[in-house]
Amino acid sequence: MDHESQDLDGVIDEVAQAMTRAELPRDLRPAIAARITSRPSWTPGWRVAAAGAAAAVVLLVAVMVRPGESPGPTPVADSRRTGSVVAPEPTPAAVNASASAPTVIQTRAAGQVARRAVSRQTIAPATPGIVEIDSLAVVPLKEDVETGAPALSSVVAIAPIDVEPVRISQIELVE
Amino acid sequence: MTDDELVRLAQAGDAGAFDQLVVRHQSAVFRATLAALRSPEEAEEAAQDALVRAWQNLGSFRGDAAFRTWLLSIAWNRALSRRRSIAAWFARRAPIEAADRVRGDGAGPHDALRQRELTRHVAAAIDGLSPKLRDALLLARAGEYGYDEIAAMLQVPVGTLKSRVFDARRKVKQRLAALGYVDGD
Repeated sequence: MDHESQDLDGVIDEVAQAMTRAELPRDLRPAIAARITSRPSWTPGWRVAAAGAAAAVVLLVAVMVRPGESPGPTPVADSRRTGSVVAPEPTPAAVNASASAPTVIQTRAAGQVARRAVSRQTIAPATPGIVEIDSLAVVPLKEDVETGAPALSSVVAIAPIDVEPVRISQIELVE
Repeated sequence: MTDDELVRLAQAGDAGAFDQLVVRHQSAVFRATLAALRSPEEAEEAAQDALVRAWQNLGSFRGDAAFRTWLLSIAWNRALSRRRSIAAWFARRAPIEAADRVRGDGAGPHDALRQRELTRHVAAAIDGLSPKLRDALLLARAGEYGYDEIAAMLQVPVGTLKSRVFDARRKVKQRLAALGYVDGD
C-alpha cells in the first residue's frame, strides 16, 4: 500500500494544530467571575493568619523546649552531681545513713531523669539524643582533672627510664 | 493598561482588573489545557481551576516572569494533575485508538478521502507518542505560544524542548512510513 509523496511535515503541523483547537467556552469567564466573587480576596487574610499561626507555633516550641533543656542537658551529670553532692550530707550524720541516703536520692534522680525523658519525647524526640552525647563528653574530662590519681600513676610508670643513666655510669666505670 | 498594572490592581483585591486579565489570556490558558487533556470539557474545567487558583495565589506573583508565563504554568500543572485521573485519560484515548485501527482499506477514488485518511493516521501517530514528545509537539504547533513560554510550562530548557519537537516529528513520520506514506520534502 504505497501512497503518493506528500508533505508530511505540513500535514503533521496542521493536524497538531487542529488537535489543540476548539471554540473557547462561553461559560469560562462568567464561571471564573462567579467563583472569584464568591470568596473575594480572602487570600491576604489567609496569609496573615497562616503567618501568625506559624509564629505562634515557633514561640510555643521555643517556650516548651527551653525549660526542658536547662536541667535536662546533663541527665547523667545530674545523677553524678547528686551523688557527689549527697556525699557530704551524710558526714554530719551517722555512717550507716550515708550508705542508704545516696541510693534513695539516686533513685529519685533516676526517676526524675525518666520523667524528663518521657516529657521530652512528647515535645521533640531529637533533644534527648543530643543531651546524652553532651553529658558523655563532659564526664571523662571532669574525672581526669579532679582525681589526679591516674596522672600520678602515669608519672610513676615513667620512673624506669631514670634507671638507664645508671647503666651509662656503669659503662663509664668500665672504661 | 499593561498586564503588570492590572496585576498590581488585582493584587490589591480589584476583581475587575483580574477579569481583564482573564479576557486577555483565557484563550491561551484554554488551549494549553486542551493540548494536555484533548477533551474540551476537561480542558474547560482545568482552565477554570487554573484561573481561580491564579487569583488565589496572586499575592505570590512577584513579577520574576511575565504574568502570562506564570499563568500558563499554573494552567499546565492543573491540566497535568487532571490528566493523571485514569478514567479521564481512557475516555480521551478511546476514540483516537479507534481511529488508529482504520488503515489499509485501499486508496479512495478522491484526494479528499485520501487526505482524510492521512489526517487520521497522523492524529493516531501523534497520540501514540510518549506524553513528553506529544506535549512538546502539540504546544509548539498550537501557534499560541513561544518556545520560552512552552519551556517554562514544561519546566525544561528551550534546547530540550526543540529536541523533543524534532523527535516527535521524526517518530510520527516513521509510523507513517510504515503505513506506506512517503515524505515529499
